[in-house]
Amino acid sequence: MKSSVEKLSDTRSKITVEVPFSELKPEIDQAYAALAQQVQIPGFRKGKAPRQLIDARFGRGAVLEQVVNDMLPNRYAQAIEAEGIKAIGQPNVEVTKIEDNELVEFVAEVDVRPEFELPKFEDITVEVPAIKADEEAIEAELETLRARFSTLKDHNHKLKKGEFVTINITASIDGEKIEEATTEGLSYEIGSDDLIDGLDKALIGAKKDETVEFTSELANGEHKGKEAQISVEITATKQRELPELDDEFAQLASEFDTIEELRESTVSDVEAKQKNEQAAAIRDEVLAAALGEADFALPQSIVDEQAHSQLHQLLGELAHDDAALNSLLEAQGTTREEFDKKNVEDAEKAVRTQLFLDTLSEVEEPEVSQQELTDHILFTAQSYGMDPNQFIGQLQQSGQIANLFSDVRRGKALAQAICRVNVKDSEGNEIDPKEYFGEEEVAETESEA
Amino acid sequence: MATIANPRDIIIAPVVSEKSYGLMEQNVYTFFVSTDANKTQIKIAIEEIFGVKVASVNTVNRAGKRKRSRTGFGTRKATKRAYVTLREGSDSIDIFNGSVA
Repeated sequence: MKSSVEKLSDTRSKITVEVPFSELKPEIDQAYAALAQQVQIPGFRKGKAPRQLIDARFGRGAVLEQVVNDMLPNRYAQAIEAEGIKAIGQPNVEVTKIEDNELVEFVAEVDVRPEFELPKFEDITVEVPAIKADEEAIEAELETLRARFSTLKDHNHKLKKGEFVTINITASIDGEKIEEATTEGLSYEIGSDDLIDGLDKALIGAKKDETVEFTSELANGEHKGKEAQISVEITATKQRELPELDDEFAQLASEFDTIEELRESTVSDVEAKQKNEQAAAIRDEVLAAALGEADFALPQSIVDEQAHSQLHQLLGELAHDDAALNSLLEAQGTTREEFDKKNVEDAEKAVRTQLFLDTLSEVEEPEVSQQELTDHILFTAQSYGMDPNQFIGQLQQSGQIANLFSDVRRGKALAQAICRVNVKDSEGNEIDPKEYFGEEEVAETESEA
Repeated sequence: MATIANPRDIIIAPVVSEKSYGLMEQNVYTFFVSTDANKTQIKIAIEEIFGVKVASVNTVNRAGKRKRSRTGFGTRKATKRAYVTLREGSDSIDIFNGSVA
């Protein structure tokens, strides 16, 4: 087998491979056997047809085609290996020459990972927000917990925004009662403003057992758009009452007995959360800084592919309705053009990151143990909400295990690199990245990759 | 039977089957031949058509099967096969290149 490489650009290479027939004997034998197995020739049992007959019946061309198809992936991989090409994506293969009993020549064009200098991680300094496990954050946390356990209490003062009422509504036009706009015992939060225009205004300041009246336009139904007299009877008024922060509340809302214990656990929760956030921030910052220093061209086709699949993922959610996407974008205040542009930018970024990490992992050469791979698979399965065994089965079927493996490897390479970076928080304190990205936490950071 | 027979009237077609292909390796070629041809005629015909030397000819008659149909009985055509052994050192017969009968 002879091969030669021609560099088309930084990101694309053309490989020409010549394979002499003498090397193809196993494939040819296999092709005949496979073809014989498929065809039924009178006078012969299945799979027993002699070569001359197959040639005579189906032509040598069919056999050669089969041979070429069989050998392409294999020879292509060999050529890539021999030439040391770092291919990404699917090659564009074209068979240029078939000379029977002489040689087969094919040309493969493939995107290659551009070569570039890795930045020196030792020289990178990043700054991340400092950890602030202060009173404020803890209070906020406790406050939301209180809100979850709030109760509704009757009261008898003038109604204010945010309070709850139970009301009976009657609407009428010119003294005629409208059935469909009449309800009884409706529970309503003042200020939510989702019922009838002007209702909030009418209710605020009113008291229990009072009846307020106002006119408003009906929003739907038979009498849509007509002015109606609306009379609202307030049967009950309630306000939200937050529980006291005491031991009783601690017992109610948590597994702790006293409020001190609850507070302590909240503190550590908040700290853990902020630490996670900080780890993610470090990771993002380092990656951004490193990417900024490493400049390399991106293979256009890979970017296109990525952008395409991103678009399709979104379209898939909208049942492949282009018009629906357009209107959704309009609702979000963007246009299709802007969206497409942003999509491509995102794709470029994703591809750049991936290529960078690939190169990085080749330099760092982290070792990925079976255990780490398993952990990663379990984690991924969890994040998809799937049964791990089922997930593994699916992975095996689609041949995605290798992808996950390289995911782990990339994450680990980055973690190793990050350990050499200087990290400071916004208050100027040095942070030891090893604390976050040392061996133990590797599994966690990878999952974000 | 005409006195000067066209050899291609005697040799009708090669037999294409697993058995015949197996026999080829032993220098034995199998043909459908005219039912009223005898071994000598076959030998001469083969030598004439393919330009080879024949060592011996074995023949077998295969009576056509009696088949029932809606209207009664019919008989399939009876065939005669000839197993032609070539003399050692003779050229082989390439049944796919020369035009036969």
